Amino acid sequence: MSFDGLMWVEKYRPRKIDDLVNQDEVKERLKPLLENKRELPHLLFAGPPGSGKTTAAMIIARELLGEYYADSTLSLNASDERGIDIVRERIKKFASYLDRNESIPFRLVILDEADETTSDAQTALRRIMEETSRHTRFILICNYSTNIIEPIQSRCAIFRFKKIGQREVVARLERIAKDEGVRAGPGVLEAVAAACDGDLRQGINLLQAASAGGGEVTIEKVNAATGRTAKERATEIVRLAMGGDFGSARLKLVEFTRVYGIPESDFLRFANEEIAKGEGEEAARAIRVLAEYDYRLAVGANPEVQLTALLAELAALHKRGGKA
Amino acid sequence: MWSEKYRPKKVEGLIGNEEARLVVSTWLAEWKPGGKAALLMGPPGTGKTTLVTLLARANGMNLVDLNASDVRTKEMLGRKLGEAMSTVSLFGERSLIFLDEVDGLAGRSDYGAVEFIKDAVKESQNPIAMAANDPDSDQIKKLASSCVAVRFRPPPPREVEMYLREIARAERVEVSGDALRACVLEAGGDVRQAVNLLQSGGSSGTSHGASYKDRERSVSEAFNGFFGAADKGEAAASLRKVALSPFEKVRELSRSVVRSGLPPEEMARAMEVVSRADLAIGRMVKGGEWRLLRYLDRGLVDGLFPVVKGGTVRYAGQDDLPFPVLSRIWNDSKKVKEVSLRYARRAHTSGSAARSQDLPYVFALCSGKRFREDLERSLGLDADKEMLESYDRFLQKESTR
Repeated sequence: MSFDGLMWVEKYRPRKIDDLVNQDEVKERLKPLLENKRELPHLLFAGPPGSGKTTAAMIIARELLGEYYADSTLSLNASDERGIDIVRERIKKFASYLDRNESIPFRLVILDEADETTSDAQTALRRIMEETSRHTRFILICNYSTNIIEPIQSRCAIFRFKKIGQREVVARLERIAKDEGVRAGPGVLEAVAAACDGDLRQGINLLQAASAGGGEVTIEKVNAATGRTAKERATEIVRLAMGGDFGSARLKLVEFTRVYGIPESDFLRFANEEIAKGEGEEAARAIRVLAEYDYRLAVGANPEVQLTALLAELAALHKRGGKA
Repeated sequence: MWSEKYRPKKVEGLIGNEEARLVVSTWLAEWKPGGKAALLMGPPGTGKTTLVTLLARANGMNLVDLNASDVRTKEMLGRKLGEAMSTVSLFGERSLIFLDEVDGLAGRSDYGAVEFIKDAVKESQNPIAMAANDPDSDQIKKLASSCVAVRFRPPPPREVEMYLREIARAERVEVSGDALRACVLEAGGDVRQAVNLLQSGGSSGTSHGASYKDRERSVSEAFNGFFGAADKGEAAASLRKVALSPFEKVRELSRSVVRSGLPPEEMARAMEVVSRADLAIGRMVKGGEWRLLRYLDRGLVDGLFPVVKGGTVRYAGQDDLPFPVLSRIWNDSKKVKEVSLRYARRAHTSGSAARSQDLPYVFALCSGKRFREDLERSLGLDADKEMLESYDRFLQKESTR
């Protein structure tokens, strides 16, 4: 079976603008633009993860380029290749190549997670967008448009994708479950939707993982599947440290970053979510400690040293009973 | 020294990295002035230096070998390289310029060195090859666009074992299969280290990698001198003797502190000092403010020494982690990375997002045999038997966790 048939996120990825979930405003504005293809501006999609940005870009690429989709699109993910070289080498080369193919309006560069690029790279990108605008269009995708430099924002039509609501996530999961012949007990799809918090991509992955092995999908299976996520692992590390067990917390942290290769920034994000749930003086101090080390991580030389020091501080905080 | 005595004499005698070797020899064969340099990246002992040396010999070229650790400034680079860059020798013999350890460059020399090399690549009449351990270092990122980058990976353990067995046979030493495998494991993919272990009477069987090389012995003595010093003066003197880059010095201090099992309050205080030292290094590197370096040792003596003195903290080696964790890092992290990159391309996401969001679910799905086989095929993992086998072992571990 092909990858696209295997993973439900691909199998059920919308193929038409109309099928995007819960993005009425985006759809309304996109459709007229697509009717006049040769006038299409550069596009900037901003919005939370799993809200349909990449999907929308893929749909547009197919509508514009049809059978030339594969050859005339350059898809890059900036968080994997974020330096200025990627802009200078690959994007520039691709964008400047004048296509003699009259049946397509222009070539297309889709840059996912564009907010991960350095500002140097964005500055270089801005030039390329101008110089090649006769035959190349850009779709930039990011979580926050504020992380994109102003001059680029001003060259793009900006589309803001909304976080998908619980109800829409459940409805979508229901349809997938029906098509796949998967039975889900009462409240199960709601639990999946609650766990993925508006990120439909995660929700679909979670549903598929929970339904592995056949039989009815239960809350227990959903919990078992979420128990292995990076967020759960990070939460466990924070709990160990804040319970005073520095040694175990640190070993788990090493596993988290060095075996599973999950970025340190993700650890801090999940740690913040976990600690912020707490109340009282200890949680307040822990948040301050976290903020301090988040900053040090950005400036420091070695993430391992900084995160280890963070865990040591959290463990000591516990021993002091939350007092400074 | 067996690692020199049995250093391969021919390119074909190297183990592992067949594809990388092919890329480098093709690069050299097709190189013309103005062409890119070759950048060989990979962990120690994977055959980078040996390959370059052998290729030079095989092509009748004169090897101009500059170990970056003894070249510090742009001027020195210019003086030493200038001649090799421009000349063809009397007998028409060409040179192959080899810069080893380029990732260590900025740590020891000024910013200009990287720029100098980039220009040298453009102007040189002779090919330039470089080697580095850390592909993520800033210097490498800057050099990457002038280079044909080639990744070297640790050769498969089985091949290292066979290689050691041949040496043992040639030297007429009796070594059990278990002892051989222990050497291979402890060396963690570093072939030179594995040969050293074999010669030095085999693996010690204890924790982390390697019989200590001389350098490590002196580093260890210096650190322990610091931890066990009677007063700040002695501590400062010992710290000065630690022959490591500031970055490594702080990292290994942090690992020793962690390993010590100090009580929480002291642990936090010690790590706070280490964290600030690391912060200072980060600022130095980012701002190029090398003069800040002069405060580093003093800060560590004043801040860290009072907390760690008294003999509880000892030097923990390059890695303080227990062996099972180290072996997981060594064996599993590359698999996770490789699978996540392949997955990310197919699922239109980034490698890091795949690792933190998608893979946990994918691993869960892989408990189904049909699904797993289909996925492996769709990601092209089935074409790479070695990869597939180790990936399967990884999944088995995952499912029992």
